[in-house]
Amino acid sequence: MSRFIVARLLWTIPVVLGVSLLVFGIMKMVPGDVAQVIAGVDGTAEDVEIIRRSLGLDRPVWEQYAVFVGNSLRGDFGRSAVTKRPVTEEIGSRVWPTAELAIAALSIALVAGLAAGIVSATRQYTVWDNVATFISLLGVSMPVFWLGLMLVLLFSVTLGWLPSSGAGTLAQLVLPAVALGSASTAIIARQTRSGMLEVLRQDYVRTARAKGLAERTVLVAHALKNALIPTVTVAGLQVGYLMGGAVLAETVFARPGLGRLLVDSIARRDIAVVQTTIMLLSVTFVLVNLVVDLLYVKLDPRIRYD
Amino acid sequence: MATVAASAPPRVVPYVLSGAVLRQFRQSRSAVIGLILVAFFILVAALAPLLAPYDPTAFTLGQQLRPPSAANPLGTDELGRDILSRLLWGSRVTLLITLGAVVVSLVVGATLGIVAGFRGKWTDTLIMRVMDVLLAMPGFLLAIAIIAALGAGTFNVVVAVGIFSIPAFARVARGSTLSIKEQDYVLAARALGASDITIMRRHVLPNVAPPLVVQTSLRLATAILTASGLSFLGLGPQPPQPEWGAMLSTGRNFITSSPQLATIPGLAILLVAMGFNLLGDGLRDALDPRLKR
Repeated sequence: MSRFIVARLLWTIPVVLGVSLLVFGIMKMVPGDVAQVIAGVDGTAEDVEIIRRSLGLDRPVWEQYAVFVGNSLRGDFGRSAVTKRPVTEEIGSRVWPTAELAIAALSIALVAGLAAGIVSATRQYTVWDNVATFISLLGVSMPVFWLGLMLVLLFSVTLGWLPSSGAGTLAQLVLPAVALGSASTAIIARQTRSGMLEVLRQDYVRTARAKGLAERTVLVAHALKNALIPTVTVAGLQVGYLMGGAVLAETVFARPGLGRLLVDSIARRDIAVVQTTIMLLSVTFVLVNLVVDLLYVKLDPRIRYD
Repeated sequence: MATVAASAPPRVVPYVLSGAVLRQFRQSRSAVIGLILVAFFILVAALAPLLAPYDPTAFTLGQQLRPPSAANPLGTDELGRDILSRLLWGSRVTLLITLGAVVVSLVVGATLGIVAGFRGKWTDTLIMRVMDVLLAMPGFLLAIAIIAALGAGTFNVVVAVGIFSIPAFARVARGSTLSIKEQDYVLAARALGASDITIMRRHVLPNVAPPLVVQTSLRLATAILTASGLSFLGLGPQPPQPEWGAMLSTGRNFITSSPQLATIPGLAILLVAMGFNLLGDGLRDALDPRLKR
């Protein structure tokens, strides 16, 4: 088992390098000259040349990539072309609004998704199951940004219960978290339902019932514990969805997070900020999946990787 | 001595369209509803020029932000353009982007997956490791990064959403290919001297098709949500082209005075995505009755 853990940990290195190569490569394709953006409209050709040399843009691309990786490892992500401040400073204040939003959305998805999935599976083909299944269908089909606007229309504009924008307070977190978490809730509910139905048909569940265990014990100790294993993977993958969706939710709710920064920086052609933001979110997602895989070994004793 | 003629194999109906599958499909209420929704919107997109009462880009001064009326059943937008006409024409843009993106990823992804599964060894390792890297990035961010490099626009959204869905198809195709290539008919074809390409095209592809068809329908739902999300951010088709995500985005600014501006395009996206999801679920049940619960 420990060999699997080591192999899994080591596998993270080429994945992160691959992602960095991909992001770096895509950013190299961005039209326009970074040096020109930094020099501004009235920068002379000479200024642009000096900036280009200072950024190492006159060197071969592979060398630039090596420098990029080396600097990233030291925590140096360059400076914003627009504000001239270090990228780490630009990003620093934006991390929490996004992290808070993603964590809140994932929590909603886990609690509501598991509950709905369990209810559906234990009361298969009843009204409850049908309602939960229909809501799940809506959840996976609804655009985040539209649901967000509808929530604003109802809870902010019409009822005046919750604020429609900003970040910092719990009240400002509720609507964006619900909007962002709805699709993940639906996906977790679906996975839990089918996982539970699969497990409930197993012999050991019949045995547990036959020996007279309370239905509650059968469901929680025997069924749910096993049904949850695939749900954990699905929940881990949802983190990637939440990071992408956060861009949309932050736009609708004017939340000063990483997603909003990303979109604004694209419009301003602030490559260093775009590159670092995407790398930060992607590496977080890679690490979350690493944790999920390691958790899997713990949850499912049948899995032996060596 | 009777000779075994090397006759062409009998023409059979593809499994996807066989009677058993169609019967299963018809019995699934969700599949039928999904098909009706999808067919409805495709029909609307095809007939948009006939159905739309006005030119979707023509605006009339003094007619801005009008509520629904007999002349403009859904009212007018901030430039005095007829919302119904923009919605109808917008279905073309939105559906074409969605279909285009999924066709790109289906063709590229299925080819990569079949080749990886069939050839195995380093070909498999190379292709699937690249897919792992693509999947290691949050999909929507990958699409945004691609648009950042290519620039906003209709065609670039097709490319971005297309690349975003390639790994999903590659994985499905590879998984099925791995089990198919061990089947007797593949071994027989190989023994008869068929080339790899012939085996992949004639024997592997038809058998990989059912899971790919299911994946295509489900991916169409993801693709319309992703593509309209990109254009909501202003990264998609540029004005004055009518597109649902972009219409919703401008409608946001008038959410209190003219809520239908943002509400209706979103509802259209929801219904199309729901149609594709229902259709995909129904197809999965029909094509793989073992999974039916």
